[in-house]
Amino acid sequence: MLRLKNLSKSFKRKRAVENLNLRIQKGELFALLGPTGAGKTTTLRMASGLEKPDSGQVFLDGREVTNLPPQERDISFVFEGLNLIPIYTVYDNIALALRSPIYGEPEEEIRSRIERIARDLRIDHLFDRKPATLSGGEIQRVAIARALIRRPKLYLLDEPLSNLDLKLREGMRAELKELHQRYESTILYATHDYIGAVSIADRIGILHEGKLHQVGTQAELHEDPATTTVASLMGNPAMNLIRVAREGTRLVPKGDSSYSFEMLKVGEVTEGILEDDLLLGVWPEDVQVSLEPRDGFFKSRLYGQEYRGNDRVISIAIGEDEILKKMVESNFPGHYGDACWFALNPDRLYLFNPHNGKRVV
Amino acid sequence: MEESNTLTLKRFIILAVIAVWVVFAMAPLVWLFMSSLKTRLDLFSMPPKFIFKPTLHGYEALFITTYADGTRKVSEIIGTMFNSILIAGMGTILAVALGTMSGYAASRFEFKAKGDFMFFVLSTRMLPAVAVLVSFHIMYARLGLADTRFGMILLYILVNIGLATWIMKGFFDGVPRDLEEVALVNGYSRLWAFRKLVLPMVKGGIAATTGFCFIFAWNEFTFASIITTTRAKTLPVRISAALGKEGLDWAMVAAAGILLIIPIVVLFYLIRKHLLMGMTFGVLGKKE
Repeated sequence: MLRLKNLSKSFKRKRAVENLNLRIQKGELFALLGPTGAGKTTTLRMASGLEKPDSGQVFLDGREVTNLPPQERDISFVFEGLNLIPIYTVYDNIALALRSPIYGEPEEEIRSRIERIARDLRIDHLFDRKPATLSGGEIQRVAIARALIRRPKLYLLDEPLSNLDLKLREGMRAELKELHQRYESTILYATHDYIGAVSIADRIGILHEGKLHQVGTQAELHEDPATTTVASLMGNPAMNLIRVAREGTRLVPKGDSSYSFEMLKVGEVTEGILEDDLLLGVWPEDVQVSLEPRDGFFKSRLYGQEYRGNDRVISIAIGEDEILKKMVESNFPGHYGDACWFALNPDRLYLFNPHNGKRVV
Repeated sequence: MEESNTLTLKRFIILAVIAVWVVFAMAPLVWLFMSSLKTRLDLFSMPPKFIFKPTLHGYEALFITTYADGTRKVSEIIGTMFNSILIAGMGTILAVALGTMSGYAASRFEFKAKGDFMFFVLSTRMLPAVAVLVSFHIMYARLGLADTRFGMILLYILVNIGLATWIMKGFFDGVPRDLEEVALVNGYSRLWAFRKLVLPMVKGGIAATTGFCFIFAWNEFTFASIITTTRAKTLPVRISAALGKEGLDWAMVAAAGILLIIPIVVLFYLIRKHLLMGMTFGVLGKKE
């Protein structure tokens, strides 16, 4: 449906997007996940036609649209800044596209569509208000309604849920997913929020500093992260990364050489590994923790904890300045400063080159 | 108690300053208006008379010319006034229209040598009129534009367009460009966005620019006094030459002064709402 081919864009010599290649299938909800400044917005803007790429091509529905203006691409865009038209009422803002010369519909049709979507988004009591009198969450919902009112070839959503409170955000995610399934719409969704991405996206692309690091389903990215960037953006908490040196099939943390972890796969690869400078990656769920001594477990202490509703994230100290994070249930009996014992699942360890972030094992 | 006292004092001081300013600004106008209704005798009486029997003699002298043989005719001032309204009006409307468009382009688009272009536009306002007067005089004479209304309109467009472009660029800079992008992704053209979204948001700017340009064009004397002689003569030039048969008729000059003020008052009365908005908007719009 959407194909971005070798897209590059710079702003005043600063690379925003670099040689980006991406294919999004028809009916797919694709999340572009990356931190602020990764190039997500620029990518979306190039897909929409608001920004012209320095090089590369954009294809939409099999047709090259690189040089077409936005209004000839049949897309909808939710801007990060939301951008309601201040001189229009909420109703007229939502009706904008359906009154345009290109996507125009009769007024009765517009009214029935607006009423339906406004009811879904709970903004039907705001029709006559001007944007300046709305709250942040209301503005966001109006902006979403304005984009979703139409059935374009492609929806481009730039951080559409960032201004909503948690409950509303979850509701809106479900809403988007539902809408996506009902109309089989194709959605490209930019977000910095891991939960937001994995909870609704069919596939995720990890974008960092203008480069697309990896594309895949949540399971694929989790199982097989290509770079430390992917590893540190996936998961909540993200993958633990610890500086280690390799001794045979064992890995010894730099911070504290009294530990050494068995890694089964490490023996398979011999070439291209820096023996004494590596990053060991382990997902929080592959850390086992116990408050009593157990066979094959290492002794440490609980370093910190943060409560997240029903769950708690605990940190286990490794040496002086490295920690392992692990999600436990909130009734987990250990607390800050307690002694604990931990082990890492030897089948599920990853090794990265710390200099370029690439995975080696 | 203490606080409300200082508040009242502050209010009082502000009001006093405003009152002084109003007197300072309005006194000449009041004086002018009174003079236009005075007889020659009252005009020069010492101390000045504030209560006198008003007469329309000055206005009569302005609009009606009495010849030596006693025949009375409508004075040429009517034609001059028409010239002034046409020239200043058209000059202002066209300068503002063109300046609005070029200001939008300067605000939104990148083009080659934009900085140089904008400086050039500004530089049209830098030279004093006297410096280019001679060249304009020669140029207009050769082109057959001397003493034509068309020539004067062209001239006032030229003088005002730089100012209009710069002021309007400032106002357009204050309108978020996202607005046009919203229109573009929702199936509208940029021209539509310009006309229907951006222009309504800079109404205040257009009003303010119109005010500035009109005042300039309406009052302009230097060029007009050299380039126009009869057919395209404007009010300021005509008034400067307001010699009656008994020397300078001051009541008539005062009446002409009032006549000169009226269109400006009317214009500003019409645009006052937008003007206030435009001024605050111009200040707030400079945030980034």
